Amino acid sequence: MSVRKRGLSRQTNRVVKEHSTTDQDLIRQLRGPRREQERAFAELYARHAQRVYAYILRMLGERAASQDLLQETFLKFYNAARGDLVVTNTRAFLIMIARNLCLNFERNARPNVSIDAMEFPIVDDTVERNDLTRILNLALELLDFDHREAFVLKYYQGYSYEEMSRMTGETVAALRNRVWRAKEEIRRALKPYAKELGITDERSSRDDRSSKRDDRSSRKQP
Amino acid sequence: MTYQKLIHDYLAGELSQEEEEKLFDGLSRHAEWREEMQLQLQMERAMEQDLHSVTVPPNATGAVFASLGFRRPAKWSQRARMSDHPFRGAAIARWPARSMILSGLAGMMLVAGSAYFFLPSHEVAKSPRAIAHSMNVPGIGAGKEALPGTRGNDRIAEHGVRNSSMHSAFAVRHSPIAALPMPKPAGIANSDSSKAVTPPSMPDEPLRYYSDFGNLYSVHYLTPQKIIGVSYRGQIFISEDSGHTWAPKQSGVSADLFGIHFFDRTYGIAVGAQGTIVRTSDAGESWRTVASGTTATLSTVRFITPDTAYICGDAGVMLRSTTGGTSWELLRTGIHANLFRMEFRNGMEGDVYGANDAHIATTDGGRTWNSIQ
Repeated sequence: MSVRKRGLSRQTNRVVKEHSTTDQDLIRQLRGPRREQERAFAELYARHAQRVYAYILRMLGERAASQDLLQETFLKFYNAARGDLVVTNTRAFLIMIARNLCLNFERNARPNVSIDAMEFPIVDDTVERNDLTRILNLALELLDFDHREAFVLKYYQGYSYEEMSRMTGETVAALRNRVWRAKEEIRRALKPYAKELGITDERSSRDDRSSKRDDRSSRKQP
Repeated sequence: MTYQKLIHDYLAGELSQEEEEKLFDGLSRHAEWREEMQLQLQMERAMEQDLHSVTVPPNATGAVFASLGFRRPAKWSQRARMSDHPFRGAAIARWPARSMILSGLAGMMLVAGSAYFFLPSHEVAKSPRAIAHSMNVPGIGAGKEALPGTRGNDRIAEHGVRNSSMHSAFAVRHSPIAALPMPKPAGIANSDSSKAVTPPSMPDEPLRYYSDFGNLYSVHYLTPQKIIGVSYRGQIFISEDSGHTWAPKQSGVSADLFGIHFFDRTYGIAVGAQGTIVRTSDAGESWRTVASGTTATLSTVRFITPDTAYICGDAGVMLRSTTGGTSWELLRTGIHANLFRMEFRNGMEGDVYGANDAHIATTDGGRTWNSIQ
């Protein structure tokens, strides 16, 4: 079986190699004197803020609200880390805090749209390759929370299904299904632009036509 | 199982041997399978790029530290200026110190003398007269939303941030102005936000609002009067009167152009989306496409000598030409960050900067790169 490795374990290993002080050391320092706290917090923030902010931003799609939730996430993290809580995976812990805040925000801020009832607006008559990200993000915003979350955790954060399951409390099978359904919907949004995005090319269509001809001719043979 | 799901599972590394054989057979026979594979791969690539292009806004970082009563570390202040500036590509150019060019998407950079002013997008949406008016208010930025920038450091403007749906939305809604000429400034007191700044005086004649050609992503002065700018969908504009009027030129390409540089008054190169490179040998009157060997978005181009030029772009792409821009070789940088700015001291030694504080350096003309922490 060919396995395309991606995800947390590789990233975590790299982080550990890059930083001589582990996250756990830094979290312990958050319980120390003020100056030590400041230094430790700044380092933890430098290590994880970008990923956490990317998660929140892609979950909410709103810059201002994302910035508020980033602040709230790190506040909660700081308060929790100063207690007796044992944090083994800092980023996952931060993402879990951010996730709960995003959930609350979603409940209060906007109604969920069923994934089946989604309609994607026409963005423009023509698009270019660099618009792919824009369409992707637009499509992502239109997914309901559960599907968007599964998709973001998988593709934007690189977590394995097992890690996602621990973070969300959902079964691996349910998460697999959500990721695929979300991807299907996003694909559906991208399809009309496939040609403009350079995904369809005449050569491959020609190959396909000749392949179909080959199929037909081989079927005719006794 | 549909072939789309088959491809999805393959990319996730979850196919059995038998399913994998079925997939490969289908891929060899059907164009739509291959197109689907291409689509899903492009989606994954776009998401990865998107993830790396997201930067934490400096004010958000400031708010986090302030809420805990912590001082914001100095390196974050620096990072904020280096990576969060809402400009795309090299969006600034100067001829004499008194000239001013503004460009960008979500906002504009006004340059006068050695001080910079940044106007947020809603200011840009106003008419030029309104901008001129706001410029004439002493202390622009102090207590207002326009922010004084940093003194005499045009590195800042060359650091672009290129994600952001805000940019696109803004481009559609406002089609902002590109360049304004500016006479001798009345005087720039300083760029310290705590002190009043005396803005330069604006010209008496009405300023023109070039909304018909949208954004100029990058401009280059050939002379104090002659300016060349690049814009979206391959548009190139030339002004012969310091930016008062602009004439469109045919670039022969339809991709967005983000960077432009001339070695002298004759030879120049413009670069843009989808690996686009165009070259002129007649001061921008006509342009020819040059093969780049990449489809990545190219942001910035710089001539080092008449023969040697470098281009940087998305996904860590760096190109080098030793033939005056007529042919290009792809350099291996070993990073995937979007690169925006280059500083080459000569044909061999240079530094390249990009999103998320990416900084790589070479001392052998780009053959090898070291990541600078």
